[in-house]
Amino acid sequence: MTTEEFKRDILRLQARLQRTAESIIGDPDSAADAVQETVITLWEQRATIKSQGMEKLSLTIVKRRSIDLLRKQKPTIPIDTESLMLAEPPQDDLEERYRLARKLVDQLPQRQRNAILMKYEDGLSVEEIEKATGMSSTHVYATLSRAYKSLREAIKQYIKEEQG
Amino acid sequence: MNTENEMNEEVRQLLDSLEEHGKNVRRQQELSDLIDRLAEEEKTVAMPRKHRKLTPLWWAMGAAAACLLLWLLVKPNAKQQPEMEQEILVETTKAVDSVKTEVPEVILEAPVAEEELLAAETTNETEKSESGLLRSSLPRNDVQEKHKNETIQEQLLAENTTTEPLESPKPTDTANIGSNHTPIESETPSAVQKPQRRVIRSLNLVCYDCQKNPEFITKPVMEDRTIFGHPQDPHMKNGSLAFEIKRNKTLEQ
Repeated sequence: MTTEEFKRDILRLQARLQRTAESIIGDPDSAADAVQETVITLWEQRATIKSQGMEKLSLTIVKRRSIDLLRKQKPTIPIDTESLMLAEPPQDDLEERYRLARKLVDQLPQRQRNAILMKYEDGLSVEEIEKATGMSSTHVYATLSRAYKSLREAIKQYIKEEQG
Repeated sequence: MNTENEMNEEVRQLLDSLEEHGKNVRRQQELSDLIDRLAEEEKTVAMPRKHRKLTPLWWAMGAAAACLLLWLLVKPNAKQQPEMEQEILVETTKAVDSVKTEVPEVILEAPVAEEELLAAETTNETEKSESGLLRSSLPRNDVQEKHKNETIQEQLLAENTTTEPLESPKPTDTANIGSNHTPIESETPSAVQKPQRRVIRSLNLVCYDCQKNPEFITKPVMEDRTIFGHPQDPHMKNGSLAFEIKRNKTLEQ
């Protein structure tokens, strides 16, 4: 397995691994750490891994890593390892919701759309948005408020279209 | 108000999905960087070994190419060298030839001088046969050395027979050689003494050969003993030369 193939498979599985780890640990950041450790373990074993077995192996490893992390975080609490290992990772419609959100956001005026995407998708703070756009903080807040209103209207419109 | 809250909830979920997607994108980026870093680390561990193996090879190839180029550049000039070598060869062959031509003269002269001397003093036939026997029995180098010795011996003999009485102390070998070799003051003592030693040694050799061949010359009688051992034969003072002269003398008588 080449580096590019490995990267492609890992990025495809990343969201699922993150959800699985989060479902066990409960903390997104710790779950991200577990995923990273899983990736390192998989990298070391990539010579023996086939692309077909990558998903199962990665899920098993991320579960074990998550349980280990959970044990370290909560050493006094008994952990049902078997049930956690057997539990299916939660099904998530994140991709669908994202596509809908992106569709509605793309209908917003450019300034509101940029402000929303910068704040939520890129994870920038208001100060960073100020620096990036050159707007004042009050202007950023006002723009974001107007974007929320527009999104509400867009959702109403979407629901009407769905129902109608 | 309820619908407003629902709308707000919808907007919040929508924005959460955006946020979550953004976080996932960033995590994916982190993972991608992590994989790249792992790949680079693996390269940095593995690649230097390859370089270490390859670098000397390239250096060696470069050095070999440089040497080849140098050789190609120098080669046209090297054509002059064989001429020089040829000259040296000619000189050396000349020198060798001169040496070669000198040697046979010595070899040829020896029997002639010997013959003349023996014709004058002794019977030729017995002498020739004996010397022929001796020559055939010795190896080639010994024969040459023998001839040299004989020539020196003959020269000394000639001097002795003409000027000196038999038993008288010798003008000595060194003196005889001194007539041939005039030492220069600047020469070292060892350089001066070297030919003398050679002659003395050669005389001893001849004497040894004479002793080995009882037919050629009779051994001195060593019956009388002193407390110091065997008395030194008076003829031995002059080595084989004395024997030769004594023998010649007896034959003459």
